Amino acid sequence: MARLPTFINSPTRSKATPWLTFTERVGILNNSRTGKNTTGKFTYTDWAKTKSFVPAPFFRDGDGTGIYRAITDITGSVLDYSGTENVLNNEFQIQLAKDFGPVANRLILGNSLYQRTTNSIGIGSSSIVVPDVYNVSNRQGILNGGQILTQERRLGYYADYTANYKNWLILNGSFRFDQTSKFYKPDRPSNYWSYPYYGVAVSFIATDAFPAIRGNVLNYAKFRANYNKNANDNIPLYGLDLNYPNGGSFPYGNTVGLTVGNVLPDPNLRPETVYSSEIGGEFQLLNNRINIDVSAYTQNSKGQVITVRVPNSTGFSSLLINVGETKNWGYEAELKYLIARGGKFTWDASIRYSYNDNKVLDLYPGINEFQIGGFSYANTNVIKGERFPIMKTDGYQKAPDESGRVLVNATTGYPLRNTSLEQRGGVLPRHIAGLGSKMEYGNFGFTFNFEYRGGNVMFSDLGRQMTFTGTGKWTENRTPQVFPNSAVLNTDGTVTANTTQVREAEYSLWVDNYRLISENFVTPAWFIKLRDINLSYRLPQSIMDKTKIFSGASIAVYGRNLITIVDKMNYYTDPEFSYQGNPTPGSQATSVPTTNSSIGIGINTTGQTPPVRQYGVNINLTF
Amino acid sequence: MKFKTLIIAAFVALVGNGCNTKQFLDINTNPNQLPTASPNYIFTNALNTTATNIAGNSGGQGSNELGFYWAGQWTQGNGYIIVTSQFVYQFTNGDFNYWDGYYDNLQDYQFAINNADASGQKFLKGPAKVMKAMLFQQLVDLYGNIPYTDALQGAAILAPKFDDQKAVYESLIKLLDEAIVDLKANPFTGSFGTSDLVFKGNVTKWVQFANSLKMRMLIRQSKVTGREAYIKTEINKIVTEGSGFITGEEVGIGGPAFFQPAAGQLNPVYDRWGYDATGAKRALNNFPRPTQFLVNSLKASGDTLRLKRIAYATDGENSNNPGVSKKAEVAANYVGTPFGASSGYLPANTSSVGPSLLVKGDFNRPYIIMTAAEVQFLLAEAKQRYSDVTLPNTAQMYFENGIVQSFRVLGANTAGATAYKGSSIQNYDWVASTDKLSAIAIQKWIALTNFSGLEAWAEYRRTNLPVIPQSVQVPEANKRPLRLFYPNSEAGSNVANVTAQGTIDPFSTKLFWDVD
Repeated sequence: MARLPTFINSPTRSKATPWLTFTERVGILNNSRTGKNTTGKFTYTDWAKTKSFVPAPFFRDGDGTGIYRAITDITGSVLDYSGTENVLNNEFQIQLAKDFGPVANRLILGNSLYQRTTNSIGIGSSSIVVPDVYNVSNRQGILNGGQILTQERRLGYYADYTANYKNWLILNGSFRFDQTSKFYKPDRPSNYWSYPYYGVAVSFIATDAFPAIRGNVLNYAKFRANYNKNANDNIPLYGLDLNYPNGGSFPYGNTVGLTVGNVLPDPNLRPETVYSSEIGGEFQLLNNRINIDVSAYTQNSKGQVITVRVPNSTGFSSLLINVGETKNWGYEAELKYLIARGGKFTWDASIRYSYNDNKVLDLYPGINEFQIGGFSYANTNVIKGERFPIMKTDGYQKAPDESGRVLVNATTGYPLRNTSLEQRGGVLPRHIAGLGSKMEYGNFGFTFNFEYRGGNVMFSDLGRQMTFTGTGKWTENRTPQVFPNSAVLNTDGTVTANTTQVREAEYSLWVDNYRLISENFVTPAWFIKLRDINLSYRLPQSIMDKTKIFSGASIAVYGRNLITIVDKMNYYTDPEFSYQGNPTPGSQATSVPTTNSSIGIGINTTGQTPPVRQYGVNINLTF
Repeated sequence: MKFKTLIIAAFVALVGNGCNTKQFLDINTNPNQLPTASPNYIFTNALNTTATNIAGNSGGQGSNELGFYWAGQWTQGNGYIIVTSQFVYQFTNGDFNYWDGYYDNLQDYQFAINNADASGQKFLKGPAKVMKAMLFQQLVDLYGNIPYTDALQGAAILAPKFDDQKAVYESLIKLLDEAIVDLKANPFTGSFGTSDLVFKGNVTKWVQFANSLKMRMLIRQSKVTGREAYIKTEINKIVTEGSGFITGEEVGIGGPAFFQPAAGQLNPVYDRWGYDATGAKRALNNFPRPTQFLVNSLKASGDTLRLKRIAYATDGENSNNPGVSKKAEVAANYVGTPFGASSGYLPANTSSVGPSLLVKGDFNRPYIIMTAAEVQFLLAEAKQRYSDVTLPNTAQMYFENGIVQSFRVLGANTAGATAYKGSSIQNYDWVASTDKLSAIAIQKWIALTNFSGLEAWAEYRRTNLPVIPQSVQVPEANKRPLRLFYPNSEAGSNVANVTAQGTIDPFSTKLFWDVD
């Protein structure tokens, strides 16, 4: 893959009067990427196809000398793709700053314009003729390919006002009005594609307002509160239209075939709005040795644009709608303690804790739940009145006597599968805690950060695969056995302990029975990770001065994810991995997850590369 | 300084007011996909999708395949891990979701029906209604009660109610009546016949197909108490209508003018179990295997002519001599696999699906959705059960012609069929057969092999014939799947209406026409 970005960023500033500034900034970004995917060609020998055999005594009774021989050659493939992205951004601001007595005022009026255009083209062939020549002309059959074009535009006007009273009372108010092409159609009312939003924030530094309360115990206290209404145009591009794409594999030669698209858009789609409020405080105690930061927040999202499953009997599989309302809430606290300071040796440590929960308050008329991601046997769901996303899987049939025993078939001794999907828990962590520390001695520095996340569950499809292949440790008992903790439900409704041995414990118990009970592969998803550890050395300034080229230099050895501790039932993988792709470590913490961004969370498959430990050396030179 | 300020102020004016906002934002038309479609293109794709939904292709299993298995005609080759859902009957509402694909396909037919008049393509209404009727019939046979009147209405009805299965069947007969009226009134015009992948615009044949489908639905209900008068009236109406039935040829989708020697554009059956576009054998070629019961039954009746067309000899097709087995085509070289066997019958030692379905290079045969043989056996049963219906021929004539048609479609010499007359072989020779209805059922079962799995399974459920052995994986002798669960996709999104159907036990909740 090659990337060729170009950036043009030209801020122009001019001051008309001492209190008035104009800023004009044009940004242009051009991005182009090309790539190539290939599959090698492989042709089996005639011997492999027709004559290979398993010599005695390794073949099983009844198989004769037969063998399941190779029958299909691998034809190879090539796909070449390229894409260009062009982003144009214009920002114009008028800044007004003037003090009235003790109040410092600052007002920004602005206009922004955004346009993004992309063009992606791919061509390929699913069969190549001469091995190792990966050019689409070296092919058999038809050329595959496609093109996707997109363009979107957004226009915004905004005002941002800040009043600062003696630096201890700061008030901020902002207002923004956006217009977006993504919701625009000539016949749609203007409030369907334009939307105002606003916010207010206040912060108050009590120790500056009332210096009397400042002492040896309390050095600094700040309180803050804010309230925002936010809006965004999160809708799949061109999501307002029902499409009529080419039918599967069409065109066949000159025969054209089209199909009615499967995603039906609600004609009244509107941008989503999010109302959030937060209060918090920041305190420094005991000669600034202790720092405390606490906050609590709630966030209500109304009309999030989301694709929901509708019954296929409607003729469509999905409906693009504004969902009712979801709510996130939680609190965060951080405590930082300076253990040693002032001398050659400094050392601080901090602990963090945050709690986040969410709930679906309202969905859509007539719909109480829908699936958003996963498999038919294990999937994530949004359910009215519950936290989201919720994991549902099939599982064991449990004895009705509440003993927790699982029911087995009285004849075969195999556990019975409950085919209806049941809730297994939320897939987003409720609790996040961190521990970090930093030490410095002269030019040496040492830091590390631990993190814990928990309160959620995960499903690992790898568990199914490892049961199938027999590589999972849980399958090691292949001797005749009675299925553990099992019972039989008698026809009269009574439950008796099961004494029937499973019919065949070598293979069928595991592959045909245990593997299909998805509950087996649902595990707690908590983990503790040593996210990073870093040892650095900064070259003394006296040496730097002599070089006359460098003004600073440092070298650091670092490691990431060196330690990961997970639940003892979690044989599978890092709970932060999901089939939606591998997140950057910690990235899920940076924003409050939405029903859209969390589709695949909590479900991992064999499609993800396993988590890796990283070690490295960083050399930093400053000129 | 002053000058620069001026330039910026001018720029603001330009951006803020100078350009028309609406014009600036009016770029929200999808440049990648069409915003509307001509119904004939939708109809063409719908037909092809029907073929792949029923046949499956290299991308997945079709509904017919399950039918072949559960009618005891095919089983799975060893050398693959046994598919427990199919051969141990361990399946859930997450397995066999044909529902979603069928309704998606039906939506395309509905679009053609709804938009035919406005687009000046009235001739599409009839054919689309016939196909709609066939797909709904298959849905009933798989699921029982289904959404019909409320279905396919998009956002207007987001939770379609389920209709009683018997009422759906009755509605489908009426829908076919409507289709016949439409067909007779609106012949294909211009070159639009090319959009019809089945009969190339021949409306008479569409009417015959509609009549044949009616026979299928009527005879299916023949064991239901109190239906006799209704069935007879409807059969007599078909005879009065006068266009007759599909005779001497099959109803097939596609063909040489349509399928292309390109990836994804082959006959779907060929694509799934035969060969890919470059002629390389599919890995799944070793998967479907004619059952031991099928192979041995044919051998026992001396029916080796059809056996050699239904199956290849062990070790399969000779790729240098397509359509012919590698080994000598003598009865001893044809070995079936016991239904549900998971070991002991490796692909190389057993027979595979034969040249009536798969011949290397024959990628462009039409995909058959109804055979002439099936129609003849339907007529035979109708005449045998209701001697007073106005069908012109005797049950014996229909029966014997059914066997001839079966030989013909399989590619066997039809002289072999005639030879059974007077042969005294049970269920082959009409006169010698002690139970005529059984003879019809058993011959029909053979004739549906390789072509109409769904029909074979439905007819097995209705008639309990032939007496096919239980899967060797299943300990209970009489446990047979009688229907499917409603798929979890529907159960999760149409909760109230699915729940209203009560508890579904696929081993005991019978369909309305499955009375014993």
